[in-house]
Amino acid sequence: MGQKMSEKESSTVQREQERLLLAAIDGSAATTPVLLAASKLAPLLDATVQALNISPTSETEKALSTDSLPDAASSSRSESAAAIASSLHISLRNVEGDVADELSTAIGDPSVVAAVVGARRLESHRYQLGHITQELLAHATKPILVVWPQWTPSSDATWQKVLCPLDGNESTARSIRTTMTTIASRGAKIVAVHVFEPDTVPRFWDQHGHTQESWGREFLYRNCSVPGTTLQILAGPPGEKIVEAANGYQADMIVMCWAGSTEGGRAPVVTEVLYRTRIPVLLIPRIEDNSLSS
Amino acid sequence: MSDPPLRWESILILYDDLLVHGESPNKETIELSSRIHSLREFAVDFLLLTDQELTELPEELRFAPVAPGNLYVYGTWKHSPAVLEFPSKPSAHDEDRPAVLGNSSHDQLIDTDNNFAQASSLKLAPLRIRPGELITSLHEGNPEALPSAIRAFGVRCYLPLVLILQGEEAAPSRVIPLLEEQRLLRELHTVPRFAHDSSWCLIVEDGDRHKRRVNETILSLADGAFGTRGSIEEDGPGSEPAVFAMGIYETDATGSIRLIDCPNWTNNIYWTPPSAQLDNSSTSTGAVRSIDPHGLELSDQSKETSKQIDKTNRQSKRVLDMYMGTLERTATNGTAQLHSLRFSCIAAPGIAAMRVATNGTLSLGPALFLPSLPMPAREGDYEMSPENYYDLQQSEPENSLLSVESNRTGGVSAAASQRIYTNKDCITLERLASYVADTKELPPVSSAERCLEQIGANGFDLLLAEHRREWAKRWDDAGVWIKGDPQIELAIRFALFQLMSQVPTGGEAAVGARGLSGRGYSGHVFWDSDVFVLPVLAAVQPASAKAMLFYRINRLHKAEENARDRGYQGARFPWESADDGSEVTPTKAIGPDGKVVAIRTGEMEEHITADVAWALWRYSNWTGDTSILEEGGTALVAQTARYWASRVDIDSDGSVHINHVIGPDEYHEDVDDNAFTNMMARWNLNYALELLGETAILGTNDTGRKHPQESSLVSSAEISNWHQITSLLVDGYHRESGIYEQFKGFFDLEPLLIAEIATPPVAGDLLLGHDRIAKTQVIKQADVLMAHHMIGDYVRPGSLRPNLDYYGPRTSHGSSLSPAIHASLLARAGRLEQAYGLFKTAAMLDLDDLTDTTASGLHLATLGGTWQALAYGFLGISCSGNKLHIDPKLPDHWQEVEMHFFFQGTRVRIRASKEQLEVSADEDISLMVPGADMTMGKEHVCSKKGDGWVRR
Repeated sequence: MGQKMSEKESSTVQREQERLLLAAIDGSAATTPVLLAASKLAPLLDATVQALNISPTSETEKALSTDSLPDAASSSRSESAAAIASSLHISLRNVEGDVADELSTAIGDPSVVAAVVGARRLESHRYQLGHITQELLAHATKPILVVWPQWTPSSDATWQKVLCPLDGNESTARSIRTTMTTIASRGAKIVAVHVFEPDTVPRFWDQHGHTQESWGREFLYRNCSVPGTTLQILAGPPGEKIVEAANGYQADMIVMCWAGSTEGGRAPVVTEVLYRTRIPVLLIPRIEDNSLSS
Repeated sequence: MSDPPLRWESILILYDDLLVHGESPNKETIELSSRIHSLREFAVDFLLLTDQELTELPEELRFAPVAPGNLYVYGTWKHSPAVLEFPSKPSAHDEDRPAVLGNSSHDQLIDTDNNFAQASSLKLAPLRIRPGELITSLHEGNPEALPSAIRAFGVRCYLPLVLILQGEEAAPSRVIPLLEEQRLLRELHTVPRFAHDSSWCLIVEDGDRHKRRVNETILSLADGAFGTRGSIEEDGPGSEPAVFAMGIYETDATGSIRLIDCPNWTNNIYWTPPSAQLDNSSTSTGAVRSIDPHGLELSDQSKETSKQIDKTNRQSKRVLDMYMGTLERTATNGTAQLHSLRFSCIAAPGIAAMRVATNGTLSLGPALFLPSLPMPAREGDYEMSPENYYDLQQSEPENSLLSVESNRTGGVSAAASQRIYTNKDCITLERLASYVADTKELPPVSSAERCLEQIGANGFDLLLAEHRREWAKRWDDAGVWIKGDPQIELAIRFALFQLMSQVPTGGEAAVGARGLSGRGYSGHVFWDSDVFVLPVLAAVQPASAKAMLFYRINRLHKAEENARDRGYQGARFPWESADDGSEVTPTKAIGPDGKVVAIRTGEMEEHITADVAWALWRYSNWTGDTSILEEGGTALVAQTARYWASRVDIDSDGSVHINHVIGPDEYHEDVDDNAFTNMMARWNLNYALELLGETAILGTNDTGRKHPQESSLVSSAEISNWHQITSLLVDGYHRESGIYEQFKGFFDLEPLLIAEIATPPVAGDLLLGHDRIAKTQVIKQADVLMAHHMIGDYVRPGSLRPNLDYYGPRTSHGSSLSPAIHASLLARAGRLEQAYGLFKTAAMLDLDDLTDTTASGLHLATLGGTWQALAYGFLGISCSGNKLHIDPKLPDHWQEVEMHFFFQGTRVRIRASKEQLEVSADEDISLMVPGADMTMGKEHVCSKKGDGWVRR
């Protein structure tokens, strides 16, 4: 009898084997894009989508969340979310409570490899992601895909073209390595982008063609050693150039590393990209050097 | 695994009267002689100094057999000092008879207290002991004097390799066990462990994974014909092991021409502690190798291997001993230790050798593999056998044979053997490799195999001895010492080490921008080779410079074709060249704006044609070897001059112009009358006129010539035309300011200085963009100033300073070629602080990976430029005709600089400080220093006086 696995143990093993992509929905306008994006990202992460609908319990949150679906009552948003998830054959889990807390707890589950959240861009607020999304991103320890309500998905079953801006920072390279390797192994074509800025322009640049090849080869070795990745080198304002490159490449997704906060002017490039693009952006939490060494 | 005792390659024993008469040698003396001779079989050199008459020496020493190791017996008896020389190669004498170099007469001797007489320079010349040195070192124990004192070893001395025994240490009872230990080290095939002199050694810790490929580049070993990147033995994805052969190219999948990947001999060696070994049952080690520059997803096996690599990397140190030309590694991984040593034999190009020892488990793949193919299964594992104390177990040698045939012409064949030796402490792998290349057809692999077979017993030790002797000789010819600046001293030695080993000393040399050290620039030959590398080699390794010229001369016909195809006469050399001499410059790239950028250098950077002619002049003028002119050089000069004569445009006012070119400053394309190009073209025409003179006017050249020399025939009309062009070709010089306008209209561009936008060096084109920078006066590199560097006697007198003042602040130094040239000119102008700053940038460019591209190969031009800045800039060396000019201007913290080089076939040694200048030469030379009259002689000593020098 001692060798028989208890239900709890069995459940744990099963959960450890699962790779879930959590899609956070609330029945708002972002619900459909979030679920569609999740269903396209899941194959790249070798994960299964699980939708999570959290009904807010605090009045403040209720008030804050109505702006995305102004004509819907709070109770009907859950029904709407369930209907959309069902139509996309995505399993749904309903939870009540503080949205940010519940989301953080759910994402913290070991089986969850990443999450998809909706953003709400208010044209009057350049940096507005939505307070829950911002709070989530600020504390995220796993990749979070930000999807705009206005995003129009392509007809492809899964995403094929991924754009990955790289700043040449070692912690960025380390932070994205696992995710990018997984994505590449699932067949996506990765274009890395590095944008020279006045203070990061190389000191030497000999014959353009040869140097670009040598420099780019080494840059990829150091920053994105993922098979099949190609590098595009650009110069100019990084946020603007990244979005231009993503549009030119017709990227399905942009993958960026970030430190979790836009306050005080931090993460200006991420902020700029989030503002300028409607392409889903996968934000990977930066692993700082001191945590790497520990 | 305990560290084996240090190896000594030369042993100096100073005896008083310990050797007894030959007729009654004691047992110890006989045994000592026996030990000496057995070590000589491993190419160990000996110098014995005794105060006995040589005739009193035991027979075993007086009649020593010929062996790979030299033996010199130096009798210092004050009344009849003499030397017995048993050189490593048979002389004209009977093999067992020593060459007695003679006895000195009494008046040539200087008595000493301990009977070690100081011999005359005449008698000791073959041993290169100078009067006073021996006594100084022995009596005063001056360690700095020892190297010169013991140059008696047939090779020049590298102190860490020499064991000096004297007094009680020299007693046979103590020497014999020591010699036995040295013999055992060799018999047991141990990895040699040498003491190192840090001033000659580049020491690299392997822990930083980002520096992995950079380290592979700077730790490259080459023998002139083949270059091997310095990858570590067990490295996997992310490393770029490679071997390249001089001049063997292929066309890749994109249609580009690049150096071919040769079979690699340094990898497929995995070592682990016995308790943490890899899965021996697996045969899938192929997954650990990747040619994908971005790496491959790792299999479980290779993940495990990678963990091992990471561990070992963190505890792996390598020493590139540039004096010996060896790369040594010590590493630990848990309880396992690894010690390896490798070299590419510069005395036998094409032969390479390594030994690897570990106390753990050694897992081997084939000795050769092609990076472009999946690696075959591992062949076997070997574990050390503790019970085999001094019972050497040898495996049967396993041979690998591989060939790579170019899809253009020629190819490379390689053979390698590996053998395992197991003894008490460790298991040792010995791997020997042989490469044969042919630019015309694939050489049979049997030819490589034959070379391998000829190495024979004791092959590793004998090859190593020949190798270090050759390096010792080269350093004696080309050494540099800088007291007060160890970092720069090491950097200059690094530059020389790589330049001397990356270029062969015979045949023809296609010296790519990155040499044989990496894939960068595809092995293409630029002006880097002619202008930056060749002048260095003309001074330190003239045969290599000549080989570089033959590369150009042998492709003159292609340059003629190139000119014809463009509607011109003569010969137009390609901006980028590979095997057949045709233009291989890429025509487009993706720019930083994401758009396709046309690369126009192949079409317009035409100064290369004059640069090639200049290289020929530089070589023949510096070395005094004019034979190159008869071997195609004159034709090359005539044809390049003829090209310029047909290339120029003549205005209605009679002025002559060269339009639509790119100068060295590539930020400004398609310009008219680039001052540098025009001056070089004029110089080219003048050189042709000077060279051909009246005697060459034998007829009219026509296109139906059959012999290369025929192209050097010029008509009087042509001569007249050339004269006219040289007098009317504009050069942009403004008399009032003393400044050359870089090209027509340059002064009208936006007068932007580089300091207004960034701190140089900086890639200005990336900063401002291609179109924007073209509208400014910011330039990439020395352009007008390049003329001051190359043809200083042809530019307007006094124009250096105004042009430095004008162009210096406009130069971004975005080209790696630029800092060294500016440093050289600034030093000439006496602006030493500025000069030193740029000089240091150039010197450290690869060692500190300042370009972030060293991973793909060494910047040979910068290495060459660094030496040039030291020689021509800080030491003020130049030549006119057969006169050597020297005018040192040293940075404040340099106490003394010593530099060796050849001039006009003579070896010259300069030692300069702020107060004194000493110049010595093997033959008489004409020396000119500012403030003193020109003199002829071998020894010159001057003291500083004011701005000039006075002779002493």
